[in-house]
Amino acid sequence: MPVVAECLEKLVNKDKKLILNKLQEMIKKKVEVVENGESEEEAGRVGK
Amino acid sequence: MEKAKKKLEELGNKIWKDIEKGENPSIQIPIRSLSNVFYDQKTRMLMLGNKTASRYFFNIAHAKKFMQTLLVAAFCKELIDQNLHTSLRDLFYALKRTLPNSQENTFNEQNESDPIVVDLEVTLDVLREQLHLNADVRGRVVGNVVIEDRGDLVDWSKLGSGGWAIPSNVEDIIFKKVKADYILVIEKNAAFERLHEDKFWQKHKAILVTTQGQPARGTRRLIQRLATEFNLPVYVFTDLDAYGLYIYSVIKYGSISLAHVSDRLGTPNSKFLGLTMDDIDNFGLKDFTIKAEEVDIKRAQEMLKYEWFQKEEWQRLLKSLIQRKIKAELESLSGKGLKFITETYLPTKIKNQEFLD
Repeated sequence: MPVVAECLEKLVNKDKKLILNKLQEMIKKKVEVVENGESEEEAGRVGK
Repeated sequence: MEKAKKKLEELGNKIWKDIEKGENPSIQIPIRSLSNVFYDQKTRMLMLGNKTASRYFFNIAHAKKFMQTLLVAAFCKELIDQNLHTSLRDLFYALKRTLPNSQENTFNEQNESDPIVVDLEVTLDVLREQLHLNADVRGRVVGNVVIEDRGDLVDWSKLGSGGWAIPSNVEDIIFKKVKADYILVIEKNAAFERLHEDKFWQKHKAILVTTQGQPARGTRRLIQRLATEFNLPVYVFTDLDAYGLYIYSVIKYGSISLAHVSDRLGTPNSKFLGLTMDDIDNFGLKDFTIKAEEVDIKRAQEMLKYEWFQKEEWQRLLKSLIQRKIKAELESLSGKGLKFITETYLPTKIKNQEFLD
């Protein structure tokens, strides 16, 4: 997560701590983490 | 603002909006496999379809690639901001590190970072060069041609035994003089060296290009530019095996994995010069063939199904590779004498127009 926050900071000029906090909040709020290992292609089809 | 920089920022903003909305951050990436590539009869090139895949951060199967995609994106934005250029190799080393408190590396091998760069190209609809990335130099050329490269005049006929090393970006090359009747593209370095030493290009008014295996993007673009800007025929000379035939296919139609840039890299008027199974029989080369491996047969079987290999002569050649279970390398022509390729094989084939199209 810190790496993603660091990269986003460079891309959108937001403070990486703010981004990291938001991501951690998502985890606390139990955002659904997909663990069944579906492929990106499958995920793409579901999303469309 | 540079187009690529704007697109990178848009990608970042899209992900940031996902996060603000509390949604699983994702990136939509066009699929670059055969399932999303089609042969366009009109342009005679392989083109990318419109199927996409989704790469989610909160998905165990996608998380690492999601992180890698952002690492590459952020790195490219820094390059653009600083107006610096670097190679795919450098990018890999610059981004490779072990994540804190884990045994996991951001990237283990360059073959992990290279496809991520292509993912970014197709997702953002920009070229690798616009992301300020260059590939390693591969491919050489000789001929009666003078170019201007970064202000320097380079005469391809006066570069000794080595020839001109083709850079990964040939967009800014200016052709000052091109005196040739055709372009001969050669898969193998050894055959290129033979033809160069025998001054084949001088005697036959040809431009010789060696791809040194599967052609790099710079080499494909250079062939396309020469062929289209100077209306030169392109003859492709490869080993007689499925991989050699596919090199021809990549030069002519574009490749499956880079179908999104076929219009800039493909040269549909290219013709296949050899080696063919008929050559083995007609030139008495049977004693110089080698046994095909299982992987060669399997690749030929796959290619039999490709839409762009459905012409009768291609089906016949591919089936003969499968049935006879033999293959031949360009070097096998030296078995008939070191100058056989220069003095007999190529002049005969070109004179008789013995090409496959």
